[in-house]
Amino acid sequence: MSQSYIWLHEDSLSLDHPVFSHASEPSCAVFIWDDAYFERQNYSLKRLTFIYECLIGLQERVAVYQGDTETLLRNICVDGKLYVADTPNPIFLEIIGKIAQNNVVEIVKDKPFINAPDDVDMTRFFRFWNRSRKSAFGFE
Amino acid sequence: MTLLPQKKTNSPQSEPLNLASFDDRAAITAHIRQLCPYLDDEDMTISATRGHKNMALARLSEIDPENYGKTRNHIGGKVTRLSPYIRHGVLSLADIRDVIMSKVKIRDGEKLIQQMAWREYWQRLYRVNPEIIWQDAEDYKTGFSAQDYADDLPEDIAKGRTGVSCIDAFIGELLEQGTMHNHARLYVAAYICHWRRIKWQAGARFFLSHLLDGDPASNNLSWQWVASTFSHKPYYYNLENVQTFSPDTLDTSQENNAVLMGTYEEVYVRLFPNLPTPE
Ligand SMILES: Cc1cc2nc3c(=O)[nH]c(=O)nc-3n(C[C@H](O)[C@H](O)[C@H](O)COP(=O)(O)OP(=O)(O)OC[C@H]3O[C@@H](n4cnc5c(N)ncnc54)[C@H](O)[C@@H]3O)c2cc1C
Repeated sequence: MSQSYIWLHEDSLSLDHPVFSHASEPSCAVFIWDDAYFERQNYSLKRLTFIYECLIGLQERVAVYQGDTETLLRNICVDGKLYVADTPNPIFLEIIGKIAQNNVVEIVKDKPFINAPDDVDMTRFFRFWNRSRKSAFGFE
Repeated sequence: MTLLPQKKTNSPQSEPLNLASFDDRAAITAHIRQLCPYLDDEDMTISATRGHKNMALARLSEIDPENYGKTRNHIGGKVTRLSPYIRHGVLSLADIRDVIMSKVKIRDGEKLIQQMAWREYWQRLYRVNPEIIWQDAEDYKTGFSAQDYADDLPEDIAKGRTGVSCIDAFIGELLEQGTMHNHARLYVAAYICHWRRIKWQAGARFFLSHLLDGDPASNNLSWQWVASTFSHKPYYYNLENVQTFSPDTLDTSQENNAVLMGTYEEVYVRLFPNLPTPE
């Protein structure tokens, strides 16, 4: 079986994320320390320290690389499928879209907390809450 | 650390990093400075809150959903302090929900689970409409238009030296620890938007830079809610409200917080002179 790759980004710093059980084996997980991205986000030393310390806890399974996210991901997963932990971040989604032009990419969602109906009214929180309350307690 | 097969990586930075030891914070910050040369020399503080699954699990074991519902609005109340771990996916909302449900009856866990649903709600809005993270979702309902608000955050706010004692204490905690209680976030955000008439975007950017849990959706949409660009009316308060929800250790004296003084009606008229006086 060919190697598969997992991209773990700042929204999913956990080895319990379903992306790990979902990826075909053998898999190689990476986090990209992209200082240009962090600068764009204007992250202070405090925030970076928090993220770095989370990464220390993951390092037996996740290799941390420094550089431009898109370039490194392209270099790393030349011939394998890329699994990505789901994210709403448009910068990450754009990168995923570009990688997907040449590679097979699969986005894996986290464990669901709420199952809201598709037609739920999102204009105000309590409309959303009233229709999703049961599932938030784990009843659906 | 997992090594990648050599043949597959050919960029100059293809070696994985050797991370510093968790026990050596000086080495951690030195390495981060090397990795992120954009950091200012003056940016030197790190938080007592540490990133790591074990730290997250320790906090999770201490949650008290029953008292949460009763005390969460009080600064110093029984809030979980899990937000940085949730923000970065160290813990999932589903796992936390399962722990809550295993500890207490539904009635006693409801408030905490409902607050967690706010996060889910903001995340879903972000996904569907990423533009609202930095654009006004609606007009201000303050009697002013967006042009009436300053673009940039003044230095006194950025340094926590506004002269309003409680606001400075809240900003001090943000700068030192990267944390702030929800009620303090509301107070500071309203102070910046309504007392100082500064665009919510400037305040949101400031928070995102320092909050360990800084999240584009939860943060910016909450700022829009305070500003009134994502709600029916602006959020504001008075000193008496701060006194009610603050511990005695916080300086909420009238002499050191004069601009916040007054009845709700007096503050309203001062902050929103173009709006009709409330009945
Ligand atoms: C101006 C402003 C800015 C904010 N910026 C952020 C931010 O950048 N990141 C962030 O996670 N939260 C933000 N919040 C929401 C809230 O203040 C924090 O989630 C909360 O204070 C974190 O502390 P806690 O973990 O003890 O929360 P608890 O009260 O113990 O709640 C448990 C979890 O539920 C979620 N949650 C609770 N309340 C909210 C809420 N109102 N909105 C979204 N999620 C919530 C959080 O993930 C939190 O960790 C902001 C609120 C305001 C008013």
